[in-house]
Amino acid sequence: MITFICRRLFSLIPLLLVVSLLVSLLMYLAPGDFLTQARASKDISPELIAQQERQLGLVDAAGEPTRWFVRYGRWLANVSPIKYGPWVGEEERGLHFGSPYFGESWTYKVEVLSLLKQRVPATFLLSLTSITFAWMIAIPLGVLAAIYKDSIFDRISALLAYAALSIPEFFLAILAVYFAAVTGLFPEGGRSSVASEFYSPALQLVDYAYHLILPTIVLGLGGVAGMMRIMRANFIDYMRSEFITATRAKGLKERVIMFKHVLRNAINPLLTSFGYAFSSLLSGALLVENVMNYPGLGQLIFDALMREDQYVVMAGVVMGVFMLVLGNLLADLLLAWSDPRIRLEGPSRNGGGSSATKGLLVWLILLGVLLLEILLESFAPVWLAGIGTVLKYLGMGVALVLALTCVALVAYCVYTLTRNLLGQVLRRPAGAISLSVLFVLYLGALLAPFLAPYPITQQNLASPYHPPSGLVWQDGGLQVKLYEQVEAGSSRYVQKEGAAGTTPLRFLVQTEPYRLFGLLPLEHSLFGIASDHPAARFYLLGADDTGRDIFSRLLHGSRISLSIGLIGVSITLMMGFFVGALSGYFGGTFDFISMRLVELLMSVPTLYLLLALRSALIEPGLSPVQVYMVIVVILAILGWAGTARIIRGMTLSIRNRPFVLAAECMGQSPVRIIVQHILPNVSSYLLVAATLSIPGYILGEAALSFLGLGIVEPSASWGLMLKQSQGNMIVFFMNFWWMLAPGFAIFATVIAYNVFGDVLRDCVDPKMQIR
Amino acid sequence: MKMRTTTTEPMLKGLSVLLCVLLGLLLSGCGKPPAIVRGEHPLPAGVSLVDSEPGQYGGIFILNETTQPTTFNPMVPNNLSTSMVLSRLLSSLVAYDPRTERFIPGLAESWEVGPEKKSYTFRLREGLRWSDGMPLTADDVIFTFDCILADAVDEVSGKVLPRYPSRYYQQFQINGEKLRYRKLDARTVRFDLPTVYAPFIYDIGQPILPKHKLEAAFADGSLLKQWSTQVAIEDPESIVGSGPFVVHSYRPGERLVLRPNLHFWKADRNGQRLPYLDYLVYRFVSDSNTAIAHFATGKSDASGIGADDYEWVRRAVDTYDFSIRERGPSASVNFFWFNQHRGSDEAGNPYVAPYKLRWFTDKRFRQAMLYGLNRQGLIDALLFGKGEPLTSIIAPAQGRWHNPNLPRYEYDPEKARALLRESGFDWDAAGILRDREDRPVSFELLLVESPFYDKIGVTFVENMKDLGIAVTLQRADFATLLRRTDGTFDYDMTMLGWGSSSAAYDPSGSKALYLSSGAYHQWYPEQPEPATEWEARIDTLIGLQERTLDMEKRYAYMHEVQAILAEELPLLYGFTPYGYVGIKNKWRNVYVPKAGSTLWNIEELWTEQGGVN
Repeated sequence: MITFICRRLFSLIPLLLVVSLLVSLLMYLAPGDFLTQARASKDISPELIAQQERQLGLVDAAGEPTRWFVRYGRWLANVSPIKYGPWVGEEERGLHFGSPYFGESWTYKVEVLSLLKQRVPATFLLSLTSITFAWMIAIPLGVLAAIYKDSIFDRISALLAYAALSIPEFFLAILAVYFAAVTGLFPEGGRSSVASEFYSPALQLVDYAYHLILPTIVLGLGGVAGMMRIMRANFIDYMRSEFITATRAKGLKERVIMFKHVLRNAINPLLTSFGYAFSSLLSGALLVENVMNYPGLGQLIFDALMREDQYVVMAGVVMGVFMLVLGNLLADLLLAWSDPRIRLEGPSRNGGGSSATKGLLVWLILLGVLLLEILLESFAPVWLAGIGTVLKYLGMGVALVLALTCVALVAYCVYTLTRNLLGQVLRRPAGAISLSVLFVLYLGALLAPFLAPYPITQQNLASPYHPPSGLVWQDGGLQVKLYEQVEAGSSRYVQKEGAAGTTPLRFLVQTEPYRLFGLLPLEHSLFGIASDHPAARFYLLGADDTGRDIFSRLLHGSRISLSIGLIGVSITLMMGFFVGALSGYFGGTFDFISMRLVELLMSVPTLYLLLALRSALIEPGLSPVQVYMVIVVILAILGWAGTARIIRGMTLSIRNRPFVLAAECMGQSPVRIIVQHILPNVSSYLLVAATLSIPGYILGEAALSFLGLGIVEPSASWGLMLKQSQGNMIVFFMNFWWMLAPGFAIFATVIAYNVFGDVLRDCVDPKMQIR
Repeated sequence: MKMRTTTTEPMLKGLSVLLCVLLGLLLSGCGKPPAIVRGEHPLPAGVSLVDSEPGQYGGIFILNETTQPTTFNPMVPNNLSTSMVLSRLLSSLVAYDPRTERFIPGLAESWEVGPEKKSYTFRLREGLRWSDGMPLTADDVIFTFDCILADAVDEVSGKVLPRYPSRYYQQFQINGEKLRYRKLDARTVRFDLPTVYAPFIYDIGQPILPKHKLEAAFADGSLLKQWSTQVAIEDPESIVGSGPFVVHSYRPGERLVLRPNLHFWKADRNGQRLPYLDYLVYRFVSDSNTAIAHFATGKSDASGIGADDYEWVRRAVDTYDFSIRERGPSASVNFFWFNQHRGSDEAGNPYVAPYKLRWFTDKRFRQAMLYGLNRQGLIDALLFGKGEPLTSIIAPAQGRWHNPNLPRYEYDPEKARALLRESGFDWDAAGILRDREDRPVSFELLLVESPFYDKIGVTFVENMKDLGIAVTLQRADFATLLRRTDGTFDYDMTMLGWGSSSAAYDPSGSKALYLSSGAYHQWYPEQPEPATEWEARIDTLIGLQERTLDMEKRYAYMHEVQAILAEELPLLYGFTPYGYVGIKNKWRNVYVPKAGSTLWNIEELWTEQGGVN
């Protein structure tokens, strides 16, 4: 046990090194630095800036910007507990031992550790309570759903679970704040009430707990759904297993069977997921912390990232990774405690020694590459630039090939779907409904310019926050009601008096010319109104603050929001499939490296990595389309790890099957074997994984746009629209409910995908656990 | 199943009883704040008596802040929120009264301007004490300026640089010479300026530091590490001040609690030492929406309210017993400008393509652009009509500095078309505007990433489309935008805004914008010599207003500057929202000035209803 814990903690060191290096590098690559703000302000002289630059170590003695390895090296030297003067962390000659020094926050001029000390407990507590909350809800519900399988209860709980899964977390947080503000039952945010300053310690604790309730629910709810589904599936699985039949035969009470024997076995996978749940909560906490004003780690790191307060970010991310590994360790210990069959010392993998040497080798190679880079950068920057160009074109070539394979793979998966599974899916009501919802949504996106009555950017400053236009049947046709403001500048509208109050709804109305599908030149839209009054509009879903038609924007926005998932998932699938299949098929060093990479990706808090990548990759001056592509790619790069792991596992089991052996004997090349024999066997799984991970992309885009880092005007996406709609509390307090239409659209899409994915999974293999 | 329900029922009941008890505990005022013991220390002999209505002690004032103080040390470069908090903790020699728009005595009870208007002699109040009871004397003033103006020779470049860099250092280099100061006696300090310099009285308002606390740190070089947020958390007592409040406790991300400074130097007519408040609480709320929602549901005592929020916050006026006061057009300004840089880069390529420069340097073109922008429409849509188009770089809130008689450039597409035609532009058959050489007019609008600017930018694009001009939007983060507008001059048109937090205003603060040689002369900065006659005239006027202490003359010079800018339009002004401030009705002695902090006189606020709210 002790050795196990030690080994785990030991394995943390390389992980932390790589993650901190990565973050440091990304921050180095991101444009601007901490002093950017200062450089911009009017009253700070350039000399002062130069002085600060030197003090913060942004430039070296000669005034040149310090290189990334110098910055990282300095950080590492400070953090390292073993210091060797005069090179590592200490002036004085010789070997020293010192406590790690994480540097100082440039903004607060306070040691980073003491800054973290203020924040970590809050986040830790929140994560813990929300996991507990999620478990407390998910386990009983999952168990009940399993016991009363296919009953009305099962159905309803499944529906609720989908709903919980489909609401963007930040949106839920906003709703919670609004709920708290209106009812006054709960505090709207914060960690303690002002009056608690003067409370006794006991009462302060109660106050803390009281403030934890809403954030806990908001954060926990997202996890409930997934855990409940896993719990249910496991429980059903074990209920049917032989040893349960044996217990029944022995005449044990049903309650004992269920809660002592089934539950104990079925709960294990949940325990395993504890670690990752913990890390995803750390990420998710940022949005919730921001909206609910909870002073946690997320807020701190986000602010620091935006300000480029380097040491805070690095220490924060290191802390995040540390907490994640701790969470995983805790999960393993829990698992060992709950399941005596598991040996903590781990199955001594055959050739444990060789794996260790392999690990060492990989590290050495990595170190070598880094050293080479440093050497080149210091002494032969021209070479480096040359290598960079070569790599760039090589990368572009690879990307092209990958894109092509990606298209092929997707086409293949869709072919599998239509050929083998579509009938099965359509036969189930849930499948038919969700598929038709998706069909309508995508059709809407495709035909957006034709269906939308107005161009995406067309403003109407005379009618901000125009409510949805009413329709009446009058004079033998549909008539659109026209409104006017009660007074100029007011947001209240009344229907115009008399004949001016309505205008007939017309079909195939003349609009600005456009090309449908980029080809077909058209200049009509499906419906609209023809009025002499320039400000008269038909707002099916109301207008936003500059009088743009929300319905039109929703349709145009769906092109981005809906395609982001498809493109992202294709990249993910392709990478996941190839990495997974290759490492499963070949094993060995490739397997070792790729699995370490997967672990690395899975152990960095996703949102921070995403933000860091975004700031490093998005250069100023990119067009909205390019920003969109970059975001998709980032989301996909962060997303493939999970798929790769599953595919690897599946490949491992398939490759030992006789037909693969036969193919090998016949001398088929590995690539052919992978494509011809393994792919068909995993394609349906890929399909399910894809369907179930598309919602993640849609929600990811929404979250990014919500933070103001995603899609930008004049393009529209649902996330951006949702952010704009609740840019202030106006929407809630003035009852502009139509502004939340994008939120509903996200919800509907995500729920449709989730239901569709689940139906697919049930068709393919009900026991499959993908999420 | 039945059995289960019967057993859970009493449990539920018990739980709800428990909850009720807990809630009751929470809501009842059992956490009464410790009372403030006043009257221990006699008032200083030179006490400042305020003439507002005398009130009674007690009460907690809660304010929401969206940003947190990053330090409690005024020498450390800081943000707006920090300086707001610091102004509660530390006093200055002079203060500003927004009611009279004049500087009034602060720590100094009086000051004299020398016969040549180049020296100022400040006389401190008698009997002043720091919050820890130590006397506050001329030595502290001298120490403060020692801190600000201390030099250090840079090891690398050999240049003389500030030892403790702060923005004040630059401020007191007047005409390239350092401000001289000396102590005359324990209560008198004399400042000698190299030249007549009108903004001096405006600059001298920075806080005075306690010598007895910071001297050691000044000597050993750790001055900037003093009074960090960590100190405020662990040892708030060691932050010693002369302002109305001292730090009671600080919890980052949660709140900062201030309590009265029992040695404060102001009292009311009845001889009660100010402030009346028992506690002043800053609650940190990261999201400004939440901050306003808090106020609108009665959970904070005062809040600035944006023009766009005014409509709904107003509905809660009676429920939560507060009132909303209109402050008129806010002190923030925003403006577009075209790149008129006439220079070229190192490779000899002009920064602005010559044909574009021809458009941008044409006054009529710029005027047409402003006529073509529907600013009133934007105000109606985004601010529910609660705002007004700007006419000047000096916002109307800056009182007499603002020139009220300026052309307004109201939305008038026809006028815009006429002006364009007049300067040789014309429209082709497709309605696209073309210049003399038949080039279609199109340019790029560079915007900082922000939802607010996005809306303005999108409207600008739409408005220009109506004029046949194709404008493309480009977004950049603030840093990049500045690099392009100030460094590489690689842009066509951009937009910026700035706000002023303080009620006291002096145009010399933005000298670098007016002067053609200035670094912030946005449309063509750091000109070797004035590019146009009107820019030369502005240079002269700015120099003139600095060299006279006669306020009427200074106002007149600045009015002329604004008139020139309004005619030539190097800056195309945007609009400014009306400011609103909500404050609970229970507070007395509230006076809301047009600009600056609403709570500038927080020490005078009092209420009949003390206790926790």
